[in-house]
Amino acid sequence: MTAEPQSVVTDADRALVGVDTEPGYHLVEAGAVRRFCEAVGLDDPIHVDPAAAHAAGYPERPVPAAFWPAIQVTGSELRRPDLGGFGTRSMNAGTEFEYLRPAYVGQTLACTARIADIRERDGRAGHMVITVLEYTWRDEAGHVVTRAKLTGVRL
Amino acid sequence: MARRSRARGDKGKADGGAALAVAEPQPAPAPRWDEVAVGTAIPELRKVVTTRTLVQFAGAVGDFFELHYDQPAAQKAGLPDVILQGYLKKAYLAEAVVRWAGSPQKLRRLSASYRGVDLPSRDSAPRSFTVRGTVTRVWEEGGEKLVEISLEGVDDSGAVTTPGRAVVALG
Repeated sequence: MTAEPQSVVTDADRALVGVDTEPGYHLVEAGAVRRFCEAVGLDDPIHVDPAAAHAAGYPERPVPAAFWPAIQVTGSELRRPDLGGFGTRSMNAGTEFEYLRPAYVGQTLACTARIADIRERDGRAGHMVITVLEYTWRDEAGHVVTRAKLTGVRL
Repeated sequence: MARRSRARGDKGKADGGAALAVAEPQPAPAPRWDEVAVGTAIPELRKVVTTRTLVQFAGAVGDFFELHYDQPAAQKAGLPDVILQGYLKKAYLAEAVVRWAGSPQKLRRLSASYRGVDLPSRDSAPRSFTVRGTVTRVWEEGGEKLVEISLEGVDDSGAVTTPGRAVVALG
């Protein structure tokens, strides 16, 4: 017995689904990786010390597993659905990362984003719109290195 | 020449005032896939997060959303204090898994849900954030020996604010 389903997602909102931004290019800088490690208290020297990385068998300093938000800027704005002004609260519901290839300090990675899905649901808190954003990082050869799905809830 | 440094186990360094790792797990040999079973627990990781940590993290990832450093803005949004960034908590989930697995490159997937808010530790109200994990599946796929770990980011009351899941490939 839920309230009668109403859709707040417009055709203009739906037209945004599946459209990639321009790539934003990020040189993975040693200083940025060091500041990230300091911020989260990650003290494994392989991320900041080339000798430690080599001693552990890596060709270069590997990027920390959770570093990706630091290079999550795209080359053009990701247009978001405006949902006809629906909702008063937005929440970050969760993230899911998939690691396909190793990444190292010194690489230049390209980040693109798209809206992968917009769906609606009636829950206990009322009507909500769930938007899934997908970020993709590619290496210089165009291979996907990492993919992320971010789920946002508007209600 | 670069200084001699053991790859893993150089744990004596100060970390620049970042989140203090308390009772940090000691480095252990990487687990062998055939010795891991459903129910195997990974070592707990406990972090004390201060407002300084939140600002450091905001700068490190370039996310300047006020809820993470501006107390009046947080209170206006109905929160008792500034809150931990979701990606900061996710970094702790990642660290717990990677410390156990032995390398960041063994991680294949990592997800986290931001179910509840976590507050920073204050002198008047000391707090910590703890990550626990248990193996929930062991299997082979695409030539890789995989392990799935169910993760829980918990606050001091034991509430799971940040459930997650990781998949790692073990040699």
